[in-house]
Amino acid sequence: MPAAVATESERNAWLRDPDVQRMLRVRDGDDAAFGELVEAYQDRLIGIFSHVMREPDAAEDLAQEVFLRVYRARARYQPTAKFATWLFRIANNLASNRRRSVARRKEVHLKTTESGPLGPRPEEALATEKSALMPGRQFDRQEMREVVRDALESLNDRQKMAVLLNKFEHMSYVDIAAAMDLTVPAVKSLLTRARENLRVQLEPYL
Amino acid sequence: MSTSDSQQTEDLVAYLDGELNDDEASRVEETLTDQASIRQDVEKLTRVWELLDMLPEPKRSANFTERTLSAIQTQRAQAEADEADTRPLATDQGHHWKTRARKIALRFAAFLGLIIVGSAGFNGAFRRDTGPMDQLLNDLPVIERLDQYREAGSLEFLEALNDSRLLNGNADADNSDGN
Repeated sequence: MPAAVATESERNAWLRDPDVQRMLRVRDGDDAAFGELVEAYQDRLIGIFSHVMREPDAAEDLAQEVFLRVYRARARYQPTAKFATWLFRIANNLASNRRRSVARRKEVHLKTTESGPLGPRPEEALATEKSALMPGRQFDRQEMREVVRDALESLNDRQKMAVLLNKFEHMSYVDIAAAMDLTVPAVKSLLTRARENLRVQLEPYL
Repeated sequence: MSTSDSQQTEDLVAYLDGELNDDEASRVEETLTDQASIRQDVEKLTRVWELLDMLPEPKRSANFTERTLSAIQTQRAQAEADEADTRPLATDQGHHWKTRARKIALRFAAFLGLIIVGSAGFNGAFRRDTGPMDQLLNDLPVIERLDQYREAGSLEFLEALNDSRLLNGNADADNSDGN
């Protein structure tokens, strides 16, 4: 982890984190505390995985795997960060592994895709972008939701994860850095590029 | 985008995220006060950020919690079963190695015994086969002259004949032929 050695006050701050306290109870054999952690984080994890992965069905599998890993690690758990930071670090690692696995599968199946390795055929691209080209077109909420989702999809994986942790988990740059194994300046730069990309994608719809 | 523009955008984003210290935040606020174009950029960044609230909220399946906790229980049961299996396994493994070592030692002893017995048997058989042969070879000069010895009649006569040296010349001739 790139973060510097924890100070006494930081350690005390982590120990004040109620979820760290829950995890310490889990370490001591309290399964009810683990149930509380599942309740608290299941929707947040599924939300992150749903946006990060391009396979919607994978979100619950990955979320469950995160909880399994947390449970397996309970005996050797030592609080070195907020519980959420630790949890999303596991989630980020799992998502990265899954994306690599999916990318390898796609490489194998590339020849069988409809559009081929050169991307969508002109008629496919035309169909996809048809509605977007209509001048003065009013977008209903559902369509706008799709536009925003496409804009998020246009980000690279790290930008997307950083945006999701920042936007929906309200994580600080320090915590995002810890969760994604980056430095704080790298997170600052990553988020700036991500927001610039989103602005380019979404400015026509503002 | 120039480096200074890039740095300025980073500072604007960090300002919006509440990540700047007081001095840095004051500098950004001065810039915003002075430059309308920067204010517009910040406004766009803010509105784009707010658009992310439109992203669909994924719904988990109704039994996700139950499935997850059940998977945890299964894993714990499995771990306990593995642990229970591992303990006797360690004893079994020790016993297994002892048994195996004993078997190897027994096999080695049996092999050694086989060699010794085989060697003794071979030697015994060799001696049984060569004993009569040695005897025959030793007795060959007598056998070759057996008819002559029989004609002589008795051992005493032959010894007296030998002592008389009457046949020494023939005897020397026979010896030289035999060699």
